[in-house]
Amino acid sequence: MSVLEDVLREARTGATSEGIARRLGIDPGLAEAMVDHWARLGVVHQAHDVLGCSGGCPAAGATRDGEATRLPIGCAGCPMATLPRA
Amino acid sequence: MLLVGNPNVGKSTLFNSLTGARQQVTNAPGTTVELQVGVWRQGGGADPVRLIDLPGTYSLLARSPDERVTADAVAGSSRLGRADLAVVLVEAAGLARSLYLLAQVAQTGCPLVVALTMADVAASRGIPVDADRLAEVLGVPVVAVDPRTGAGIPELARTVEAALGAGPGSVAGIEAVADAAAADGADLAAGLAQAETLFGWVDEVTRQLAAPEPRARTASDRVDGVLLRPWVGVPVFLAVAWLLFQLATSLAAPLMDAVSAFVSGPVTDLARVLIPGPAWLEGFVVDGLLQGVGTVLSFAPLMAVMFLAIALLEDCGYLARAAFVADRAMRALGLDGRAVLPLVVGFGCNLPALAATRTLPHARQRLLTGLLVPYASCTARLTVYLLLASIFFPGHAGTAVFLMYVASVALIVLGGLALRRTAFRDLEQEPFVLVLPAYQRPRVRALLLSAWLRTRAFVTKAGRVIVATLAVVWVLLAVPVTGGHAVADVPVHDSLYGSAAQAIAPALAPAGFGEWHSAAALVTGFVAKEVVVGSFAQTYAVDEPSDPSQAGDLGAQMRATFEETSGGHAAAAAAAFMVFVLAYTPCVATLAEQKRLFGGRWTLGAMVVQLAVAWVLAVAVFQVGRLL
Repeated sequence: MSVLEDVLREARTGATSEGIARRLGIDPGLAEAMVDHWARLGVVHQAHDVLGCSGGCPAAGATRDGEATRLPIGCAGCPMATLPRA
Repeated sequence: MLLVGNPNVGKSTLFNSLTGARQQVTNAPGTTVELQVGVWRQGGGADPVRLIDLPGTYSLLARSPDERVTADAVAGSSRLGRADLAVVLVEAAGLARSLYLLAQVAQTGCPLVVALTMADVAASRGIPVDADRLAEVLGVPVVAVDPRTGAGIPELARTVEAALGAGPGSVAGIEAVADAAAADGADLAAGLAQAETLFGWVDEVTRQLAAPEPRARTASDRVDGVLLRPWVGVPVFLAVAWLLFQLATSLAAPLMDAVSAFVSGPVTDLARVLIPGPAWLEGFVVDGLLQGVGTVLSFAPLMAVMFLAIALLEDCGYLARAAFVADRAMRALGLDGRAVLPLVVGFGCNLPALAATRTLPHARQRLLTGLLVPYASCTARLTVYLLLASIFFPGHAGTAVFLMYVASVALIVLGGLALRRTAFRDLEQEPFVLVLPAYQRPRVRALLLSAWLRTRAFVTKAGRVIVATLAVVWVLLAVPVTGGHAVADVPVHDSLYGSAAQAIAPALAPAGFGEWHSAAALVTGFVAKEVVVGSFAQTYAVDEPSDPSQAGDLGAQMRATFEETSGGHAAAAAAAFMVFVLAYTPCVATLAEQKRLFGGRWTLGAMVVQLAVAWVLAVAVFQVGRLL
């Protein structure tokens, strides 16, 4: 089994990117990049991308550590998605 | 020449530093994505270079128009043409992610040099990256730069000039790939194999630079080890939700009373003084708009507390764990885990939840989830629960509201099971993987901003809908259906609205609230659930009770009415009313969205089923409740 598949297997058990990196003994940034790759293929979901307004308005938390965050698709049609970002 | 890099690695700062004022903003060909294009005059007799600052991305497997522009430009497949050279910014403090993008760029065959940024940040974190060592490992030039101070830029200029003259070099261990479809993800198997190769290369390079240190199990891991077990996670989630409702109702109660007293006192008095002209106008403003809007506005503090509490759960990372546990529970019941996310969104608002069903890959999965979304109890319905819970279950309002959410989840699960065993037997479960965010200390500013934005949206949206609906209701209340009354001077029972509500009321009698105020509130609730509370306030305000003992504030009047219609079992009738509100059509906007997504036939069918379910459940709750 490849490392990429190992990352997916670990993610299925419920883990953070950091936790996956620790369990597999790889660089946390590498684990994050692999998770991102699976997310781009639509295989995994990242919480901040998909939970939407059920967990506080993503428009309000649209900056995380100074980095612009993409609004979830669940925000489509929401009037708040067009409000100025933080 | 292209500038390529992850977001926030200092790419734009470097671009500004290199081009100065010689830059312009232009749209990428055939798109609306803006690009910064500038001219870099390196000096020393070198030819000026046309420099394009591409949108930041972590991968060339694009998932947004901006990233598509970057991927196409690097591959040379856009109208920008093939670049002579790419300067790839590699962030020393986030080496692995940068190296993955570098590997993808190298794989396209685009010649490149590396600009190493944030070396000082990496050093301060104890993970120094040496540019020379990196160049040795990569086999391409690496220049450490600091775009903020300009350090390293002259060397970068020399390196670029040399690279442009020397022709394409290649990154050690990476071969250019001709199969664009695989690189683009169109061929999944080949794309995965390529990605695996690249990640393997990144792993090897990072290990050559610094062997990864074994990491201890963190507190977050230990907490997750307990919380993610279903038999622990579910009870903990229920306990957290119960606490949240208890806190919100007890904290916000004094604020709600204050707002309510302010609207019904000074604001109403002022309105009576300021409004000139006929009595009907004063009646419309005071008994119609002020009563309705004022009542809903009194919920604003409570909604703010609720939104703040929910934002707190999200921001600290707990809500994602709840979704993860819910997914496991759904799968245990044979339901598709992917449906969890739109349904979780539905507890905020059903409308974006329906939009979120678009993330599901199959049309029938989208339909199944879209049919369940209306049973997710949105925040608009919360106002109704809170009003009735505070009137009929004083002291246990938080628990009553909490139980409504439990009922909502039960409806979703039972509805899902029923649909999976009937109309959707052919659906297969899809894998669903949610990567959890790390626990973090909540960010006060983000929390406050989130609560403020949500509360403002609640007030403005509710305000608009309520004003429009109550204006229509007031007109219907002013139109007589029996002779002997003038327009705008008609007893409620003889008005068009009152008579229509009275015609519906008998159908609600088995549920214990078969009278016109409740029927009217449910009818207006079709427009939006926020209007239900406003409708109660308005209809009780304009309808003088024949029995003076039934006069009083809204709560007293509603208690008296429910006592009468339920034969002395007001609490059971109130619970039945709340269940009816939970189960029937959320709002007109949801119906419109369902029709757009799934067509009129499914939408009509779903609406009829929702009404039937609401009626049956409300009757069952009342009939059982009156026996207790």
